[in-house]
Amino acid sequence: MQIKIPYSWLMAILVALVLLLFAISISIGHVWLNPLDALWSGAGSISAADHLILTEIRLPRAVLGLIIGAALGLSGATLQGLLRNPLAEPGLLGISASASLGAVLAIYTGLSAAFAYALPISALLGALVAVVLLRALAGKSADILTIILSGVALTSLAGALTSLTLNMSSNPFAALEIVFWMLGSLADRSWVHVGMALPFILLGSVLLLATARALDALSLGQDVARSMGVNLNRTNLLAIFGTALSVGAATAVSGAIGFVGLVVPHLLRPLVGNRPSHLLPASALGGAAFLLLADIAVRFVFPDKDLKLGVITALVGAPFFFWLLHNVKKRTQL
Amino acid sequence: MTLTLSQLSAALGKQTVLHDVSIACTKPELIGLIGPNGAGKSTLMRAIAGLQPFSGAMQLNGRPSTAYRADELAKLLAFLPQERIVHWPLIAYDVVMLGRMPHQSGFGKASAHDHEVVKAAMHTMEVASFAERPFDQLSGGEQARLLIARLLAQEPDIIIADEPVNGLDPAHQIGLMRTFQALVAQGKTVITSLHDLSLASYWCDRIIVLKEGQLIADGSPTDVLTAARIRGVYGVETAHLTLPQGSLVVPTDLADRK
Repeated sequence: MQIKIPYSWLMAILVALVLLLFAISISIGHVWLNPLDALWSGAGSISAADHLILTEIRLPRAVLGLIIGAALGLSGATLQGLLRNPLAEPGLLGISASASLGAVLAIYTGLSAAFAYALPISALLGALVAVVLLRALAGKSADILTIILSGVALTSLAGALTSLTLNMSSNPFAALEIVFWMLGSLADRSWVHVGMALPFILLGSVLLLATARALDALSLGQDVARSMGVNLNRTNLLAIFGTALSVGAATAVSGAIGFVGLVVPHLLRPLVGNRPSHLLPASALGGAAFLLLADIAVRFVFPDKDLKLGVITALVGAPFFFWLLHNVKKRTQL
Repeated sequence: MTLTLSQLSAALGKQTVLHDVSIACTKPELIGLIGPNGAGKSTLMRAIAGLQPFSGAMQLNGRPSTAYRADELAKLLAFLPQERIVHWPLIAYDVVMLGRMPHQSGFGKASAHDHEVVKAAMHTMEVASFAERPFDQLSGGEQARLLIARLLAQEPDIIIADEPVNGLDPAHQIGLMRTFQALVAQGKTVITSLHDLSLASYWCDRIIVLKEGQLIADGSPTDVLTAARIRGVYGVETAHLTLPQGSLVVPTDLADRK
């Protein structure tokens, strides 16, 4: 299906959507705040308490929703382009699972209780270890199947080690904390978390966006891409390190939030004429909008239940995944 | 543009599929690469295109091919694989525009010249009428022609095309051979594998025959495509028609048809 819409319009619409959802995100919660009052008339027009809620709670939460959603959407679009498979997403390469393992280890060892930054740093290290292992497993080969299978092996290993950690946890609260953390959330995050994630997500995004042209060429297969001057090893490295940095940093502060990287690129692909290079920036904006919307839904639908963000994205994403699987299967049978 | 291969050998896994193949292309020619399935034609073309590791030497314009950067090579040499792959249902026009990639820098903004070249390539391959259609809504022959248009848009000096006439109707098969001849007239070298001996004998300037990874003949169609040689390579009999414009070799086994 092709829908004709100029690319610049699509981007403008997505930017407007992100801005709108950002504004709603900083307004909604136990206390309704009008963000225009706060931002345009200065701090004087709202109470000190409201000002504090806005700047110390709502803003960092919305900023995290924006950058984490963008990181997940962008890395999903890049991996789908690289692997030429609409079913790919950051979780596929085992980077999310390894980042989660890093975080779980920080909680289990009590490091995160002793030292607040230990949780995000440990998750980042998990993601980096995943990348190094991935490169070692996949060798110098640019073969897609090897990379996917390495990702599968890595996901299994990280999952097994996470289970092992949970089994060995003597403290039932630690296990509970781990389970909750793994569900993914943006609640109770601060500027510290933004400062921790932002530099890595920015750097990762630059690497991911640098693959855009190569991904277009890869649409015609590896041989043709190489014959048109594309350096496949460089493209693989950019995509893998870019994903590790952005998804690692994202998982570090939000826990594991799945399916954003799967759903968003798939919805936007027909709107950009299926071009991977156009899909990357569009998916970053789309991912930001999707996660901001999900985080609004979490607070709006069940304001008192502390519903986890990862639960919402999975509730939307998993049925979507089945539908996608069914469609891809149908298409390949033709 | 000169291309020389000296004692080129290549292996797929542990199996050596090319043995000491030496070829010199010193003037613009339409070169037909023929031989039975598994003779090493695709491997030879992938090696020339820089996609298959080999031992021996290959020189482009007197310079070792390994001394060229991938992006430099892409401006000199374009490759059309046998498999017609487009992974996403890209718009036909965008597919052909991908061929301009080696000539574009940075973010790949298409110039007016790029658009001209793409339109000309699409016109040549008669695919301009469905420029706005997605790839998955084209017929097999239309897809094949579109991907050849992508090859032409790359504007290389050397074209390597692996069985490009597969799936084309007779008019488009002849049209493609005419296009290749026109490119040769512009000073380009075209190396294409063909299974159709009548096309090869009638249109090619030069025929190279591979069998079991070895080069067994290299020369003009009349010298190379003799009944005895084709019997030796393919194990079939041929009918030879001499026309004022050229000769036609048609594989047949007259004994079987009474």
